[in-house]
Amino acid sequence: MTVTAPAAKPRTKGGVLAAAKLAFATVGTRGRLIASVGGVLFFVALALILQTSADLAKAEAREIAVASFFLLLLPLMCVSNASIAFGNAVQDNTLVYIWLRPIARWKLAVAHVAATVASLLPMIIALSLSIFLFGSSVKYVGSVAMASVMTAVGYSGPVVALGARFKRASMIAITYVILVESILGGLAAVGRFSIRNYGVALFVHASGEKLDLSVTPGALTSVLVLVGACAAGIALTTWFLKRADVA
Amino acid sequence: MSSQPTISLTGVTKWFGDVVALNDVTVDIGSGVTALLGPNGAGKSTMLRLLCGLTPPSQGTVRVLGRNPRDEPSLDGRLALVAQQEALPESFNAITFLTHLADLSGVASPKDAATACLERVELDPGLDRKLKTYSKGMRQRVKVAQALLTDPEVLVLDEPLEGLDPRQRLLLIGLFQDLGVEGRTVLVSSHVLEEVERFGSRVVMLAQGRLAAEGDYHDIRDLMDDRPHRIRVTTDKPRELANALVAAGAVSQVSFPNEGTLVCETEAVTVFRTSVVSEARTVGARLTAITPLDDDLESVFRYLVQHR
Repeated sequence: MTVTAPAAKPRTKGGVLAAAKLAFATVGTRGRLIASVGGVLFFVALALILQTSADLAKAEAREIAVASFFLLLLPLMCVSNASIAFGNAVQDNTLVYIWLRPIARWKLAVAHVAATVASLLPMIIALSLSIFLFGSSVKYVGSVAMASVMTAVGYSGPVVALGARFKRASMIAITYVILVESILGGLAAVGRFSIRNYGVALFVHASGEKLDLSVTPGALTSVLVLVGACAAGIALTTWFLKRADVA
Repeated sequence: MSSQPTISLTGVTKWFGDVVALNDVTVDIGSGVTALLGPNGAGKSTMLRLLCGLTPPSQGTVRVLGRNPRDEPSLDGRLALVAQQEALPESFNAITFLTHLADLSGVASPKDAATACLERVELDPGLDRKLKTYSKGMRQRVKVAQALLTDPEVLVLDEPLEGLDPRQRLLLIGLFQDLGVEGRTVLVSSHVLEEVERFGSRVVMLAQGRLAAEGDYHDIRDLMDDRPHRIRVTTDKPRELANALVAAGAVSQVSFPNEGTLVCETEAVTVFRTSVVSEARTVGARLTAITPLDDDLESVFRYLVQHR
């Protein structure tokens, strides 16, 4: 008996939006949204308490909330969400289900970075609203929001790549935040490698506020570094996915 | 069943560090159902991973539908895999997971496709339970359902019946056979021989990373003439018939396991087949049954694996 193969049907390929929806389902879980927005509310509440009990000026209390956000909450939530975008699938051996889909690898990478940034937006919106209610100017609020989004972009690309390559990506990324950005970040030589520094520098330039940074790069340099880091991360993720030995 | 090869491995070797998982395998597989057989560690999963492009060969070439699956993952949805590992994304329910995958594959109506595939494996698309609560059999069927989403021409299944109850096994065996009859290439790996015999008779056998045999397993058995075939003859005159067959040189050894039964060993099956009827007629014996004892897949498989 001779068998005829079924007629080849016209085939379609998946798009960035479909991949982003799947990635968002991983990084934008209810638990993560509650944790990130809850974190913002915690620091805002802390600032309010300090304002009342320590008799701080409103602007000083607000600065504590914003600084805590940039120095701690934003980096940690960025690396936490970005590292699981692919990291969960790599860790539990379910990458095969994504890998074996007819979609370009670069689209997968872009979608996962976009989904990571999108998952951080509720937190950024919560902070922006909170400091607006603190009586901050639109310029100040806008500066915080813009710098936060750009920082999220800067972190997401490289950390998504880490997640696509290493099983313990979140640990590597958190070590980077603590060691390079926090403990050694005060040294000018090390501060140049701090994504957070470029994000905070953008805030400083946009808002006109003064913050003590080991390195204060220019606005354009900051944008280029953050966008460049993201692009490099996307390129690396694409490369890792193409070369991956999928379990 | 014969056809142009849709899967082609040429001189394929794969090693992981010092371990050679697959050693210089050359094989062509056409449409219909083919069973990939081998004991645990024979290299079956490695071969299937190579076929799907999940890992590159260390040497040799792999082609599916004439293309390199490593360069074009899933070949635009023409190739699908049911992987061996049980893992599924825990936080989704089945319909959400499959809808996402269909969407990711560019399927026109992702939810409809997901629903149809789940129904095809007899899973309820409306079941609102996370995959982590699914039994092993249900997970296995989810894995099969996701592989059907793009209506693939080549379906690669790594131990797809593991963890299924007998009814579900029948369901999936029937499904694979239907897909084969439709002209798709269905390659099913298993180390459970009774399962494989139900898929059909076309097999590719691996042992210790090497290709042990390929083709129809009845033909493979016939080619293995370096050891005697064992045949059981049920007759009312076993001893008389045995004497006649020995005298005719048609058998090399005989035994009488019970009343009315004669077990013959012969290295010349064709001679035996022609002699047994004529000798029975000569001695006036009535033949009730002639049954080959080692023509089943398990015997062939055991022999090939032991003799490598």
